[in-house]
Amino acid sequence: MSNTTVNTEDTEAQKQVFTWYHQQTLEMPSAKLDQDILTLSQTHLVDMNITRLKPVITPFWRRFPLALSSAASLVIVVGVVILNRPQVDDVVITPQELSRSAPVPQTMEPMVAAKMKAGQSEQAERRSVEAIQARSRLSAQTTAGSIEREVTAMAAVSPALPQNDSDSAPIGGNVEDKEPLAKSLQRLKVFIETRENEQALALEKMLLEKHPELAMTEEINNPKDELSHTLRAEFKMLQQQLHQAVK
Amino acid sequence: MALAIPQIHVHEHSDEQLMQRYAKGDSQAFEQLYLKHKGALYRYFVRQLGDKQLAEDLYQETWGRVIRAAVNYQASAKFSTWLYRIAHNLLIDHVRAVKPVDFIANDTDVTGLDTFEGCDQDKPDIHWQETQKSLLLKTCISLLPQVQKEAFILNIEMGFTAAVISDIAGVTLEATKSRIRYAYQSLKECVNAKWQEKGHE
Repeated sequence: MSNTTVNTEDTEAQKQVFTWYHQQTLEMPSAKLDQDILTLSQTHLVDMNITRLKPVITPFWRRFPLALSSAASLVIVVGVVILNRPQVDDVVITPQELSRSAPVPQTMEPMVAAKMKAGQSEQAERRSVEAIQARSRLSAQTTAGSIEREVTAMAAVSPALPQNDSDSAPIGGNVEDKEPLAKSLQRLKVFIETRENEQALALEKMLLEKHPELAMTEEINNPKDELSHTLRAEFKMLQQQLHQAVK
Repeated sequence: MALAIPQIHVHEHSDEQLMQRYAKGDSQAFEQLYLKHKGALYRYFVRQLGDKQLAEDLYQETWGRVIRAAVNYQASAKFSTWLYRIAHNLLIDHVRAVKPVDFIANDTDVTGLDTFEGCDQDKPDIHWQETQKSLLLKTCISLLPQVQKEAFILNIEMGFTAAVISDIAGVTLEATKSRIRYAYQSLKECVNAKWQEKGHE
């Protein structure tokens, strides 16, 4: 039997069966069954609507999660800063430092970048110069302080040094300045005698800074300044001795 | 027997659109869908099971599942394919639950054929012959093997192709094609044989 014959027979069979099938009375569900199913569909719809209408109670923290997490982060940061206040104060962030730490945008012009680099190097130089000056200042103060401490110690030990300098003449008429200046001149004298030239020079420099009137050369006619004149003369003399000793 | 539902143009929207409208709260959409598919689905169960009460239970359960699944329904497949897959699964579950011998339907309507035959058999009318044969067909359908019966009903009721039926039943396309072809041939032979058994040409 060829395929065509088989197909023709199949088609005929299908046609005949199809005709017989649709001639018969076709069963249908009862009206009650229909009604039950449609009622079920409507009931389910009402249930769905009720579920949809029910307000969904979302907790406060779920309604504004971003705002709350940001606030919490801020509180933590502020808390850390407050707890570590001394450390934070040490690290002072200046605008220059901020700009230095910020990455230079790639789109920035080369000129601008060069200017920024130049500015940064200038600042670095200035900072290093300031640091050197501050260091030298600090060392000078340290030296002067040590000299003063040594002189005081020597004065306490040496019987040659006068214990009371209340008779010493004041410079500029200030009674409070008289005693230290006289004492200082005594110390300078001791340094020159003991040939401690470096310390003597430092003391001389300090005295000149403290009392610039010691460097004055003009004659003072005021009789009240006679004592100060004596002190100035003594300083001049000691200064000459010191410079001779240094040479 | 007929449901008191107003006449609706059932072809205005596709099944998938009707289902989505129902999911959004349109009860009329479901009524349209139900009217369109109720007869074929009902016969799908009745013809295969033979037990009217059981068939109605499974029929109702199928629609119940459709209703419950409406919220999550996505038109990824044709609605009719989805509907009959639900029906097929329910039927399979039932077949697994009962013994296979119980599943073979005994159509009681065959007796009607015999009583009818006695009074009208002398009429040579072709229409009468066809009517008689259509009654015999009902008996023959009930005698078909289960797999052929399902393939035949899906094909003749819904006009499903072999591909769709194979998708619903979960078998290969070739197997489905064979089932459909054998079902038609068997039914034709069965009807003719029974017709001759009754003393007709």
